[in-house]
Amino acid sequence: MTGSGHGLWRSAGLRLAALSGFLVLLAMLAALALVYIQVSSVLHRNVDRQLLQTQQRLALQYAHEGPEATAQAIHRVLHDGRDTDLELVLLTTPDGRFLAGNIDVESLPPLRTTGATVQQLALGTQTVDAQLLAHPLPDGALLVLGHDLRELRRIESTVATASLVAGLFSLALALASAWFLRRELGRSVNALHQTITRIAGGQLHERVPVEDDSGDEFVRLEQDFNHMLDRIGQLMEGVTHVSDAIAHNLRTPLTRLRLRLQAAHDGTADAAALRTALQSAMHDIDDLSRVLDKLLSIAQAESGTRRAPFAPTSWQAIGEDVVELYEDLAEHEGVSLHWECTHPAPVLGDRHLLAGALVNVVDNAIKYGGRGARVQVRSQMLARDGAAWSEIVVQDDGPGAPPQAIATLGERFVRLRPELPGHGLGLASVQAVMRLHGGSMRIEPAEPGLRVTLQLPLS
Amino acid sequence: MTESPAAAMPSMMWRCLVIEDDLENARYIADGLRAQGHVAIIASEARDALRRACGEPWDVVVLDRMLGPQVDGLHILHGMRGLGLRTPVLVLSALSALDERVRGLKAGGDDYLTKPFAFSELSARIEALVRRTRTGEEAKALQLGDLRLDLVHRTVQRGGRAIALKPREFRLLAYLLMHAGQPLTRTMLLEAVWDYRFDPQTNLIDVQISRLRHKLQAPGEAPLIHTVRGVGYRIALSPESDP
Repeated sequence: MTGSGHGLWRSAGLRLAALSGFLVLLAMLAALALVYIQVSSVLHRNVDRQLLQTQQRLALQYAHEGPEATAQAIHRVLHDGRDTDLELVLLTTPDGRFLAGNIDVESLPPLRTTGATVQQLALGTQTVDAQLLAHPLPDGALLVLGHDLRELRRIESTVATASLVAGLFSLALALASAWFLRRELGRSVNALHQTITRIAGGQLHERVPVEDDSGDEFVRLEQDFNHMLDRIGQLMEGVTHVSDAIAHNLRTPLTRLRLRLQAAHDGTADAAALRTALQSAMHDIDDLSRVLDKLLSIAQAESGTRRAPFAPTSWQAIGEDVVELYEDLAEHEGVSLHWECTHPAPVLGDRHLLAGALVNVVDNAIKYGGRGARVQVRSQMLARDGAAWSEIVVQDDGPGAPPQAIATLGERFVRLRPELPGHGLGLASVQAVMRLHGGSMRIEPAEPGLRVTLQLPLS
Repeated sequence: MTESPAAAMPSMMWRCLVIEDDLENARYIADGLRAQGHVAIIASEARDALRRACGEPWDVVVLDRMLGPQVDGLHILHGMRGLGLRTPVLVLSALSALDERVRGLKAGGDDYLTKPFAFSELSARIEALVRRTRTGEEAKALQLGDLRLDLVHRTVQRGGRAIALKPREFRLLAYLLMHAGQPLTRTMLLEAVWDYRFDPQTNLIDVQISRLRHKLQAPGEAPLIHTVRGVGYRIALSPESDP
């Protein structure tokens, strides 16, 4: 086999098509052969039966009525107009001379006396295939009955020809389907292949062209592939954006720190001033490490890997703890904090992470609600999208936030009020924690104020 | 009823083993501990560290989670616990994630601290660990001056006056008294009293403490809960010196 032949054979489409074509052809040939054999054997059996019947009838007549009557009967048989051109008969006298029939005694081949045999027979000017049945009569006469097989051969050859034509036709069909299958497979796979090659080469915006929405397997595969690429694209964009933001948010305080230390080092400050500079530098470092810590835990939660198993807990238990933890602080800040649980519902999760998330949200509500605000924390159960959810709602009646700002809350380093202390990582970490738990965070205007809902699937 | 004279705990000298491959870090930790009057030995190589940790008596072991790029400090911890050593071990790690901490504690660590940390936090945690193993937790009542906390009947009295505390306030006071004289950081308080481990917004614990202070201190009485600058809080009869 040539190299290109090997290459062609490497095509899964071609192999698949060739296999299916071969199997179809095989089945077809088997069916045709069966038909041919059946037809032929039925025809031959019919001939045998007819010969035997006629032979028995004539032998009986010969025994009862004698040679003359039998000769007349033979004559009638040969001229009754039914299959007369196919029927062959010979009756000889006991000494072997011709008595009646349409076969010459001389042209008769040697015959066995048991069963019918197919023999060549000279019939007038032509030689024909004939099925012959010889029957010696008790007085030494010979009765030979035969059937000209020309008609039968014609039928057989018609069947054979038809089988051959059908076989060739199915071979052609198999080849055509192989070619079609290979082309279809090749086309779909090629599109995928080319796109993947281009993407691997760095062109991440490439997508597989989806030609129709027929929903066949390949179209679905192409669509799934494109969705996957979209998701990867979003993640990549997210990563780029985040690393920019991280760089900015770490470098800026690092620069400040560096400048502050440099100033303290170069200046003529006294010991007390130096101590102050060092203290604020330490404070900056603590701050930076807090940012780093938050970023790391967000990244870990977002990557979806958790090595500590989730345990049964509930928003009710966590909500109660957090509200109790914040009661005094809220009072201190002039905010009234209210707790309500309409339905205790079990969830699976990490209580430290969930409590940390809720603390972030409650802390925000107190911070942004402002003095005199009322913060309501409510745990409830609800059914949505055919599943049961446990959610905790934190709602304040403070100034709230403009809709366009709400849309960006939950992104890293986004801060509603930059003048208040914070890093803009709280809600991002809440978001990541909720995603890790298969839940979600929702932020809506509460008019007045803001409503944050943390939703978890019921365990 | 056994009573733990919390105020009478004398200042002691501890033997500390610092297992840390970054020599400068290790030296700062050791110097800090020595400055407090303790003995601190540095082991920076894993095999040597395991040998020393198992071969000599220590009051506390400070163990870095990563000793070089390949060596997991938890192996040393496994080795120690495998030998049946109950020495308190404080695990240091740059891995901050919560489940890393769980792994450290599961491996037999007694506490966990993420880098970077303030020395005051480290020292407060070490002190809590050592005192915990020395005092035990069998006390049924805790006393500091005229303040008395009954762990069985869950009552608090000061100078014969009953003080009503919420359950969490009671646990907070009990934890402070169990570690009377020791500085306790805000994260330690959150962990011990509320059993949550997350970064507390600074004033969250401050507000709780200030409540408790007001309840404990009638007009004319001396303050008991003192703020330790840069660290956290300490309950003691006098604000400055060790009790």
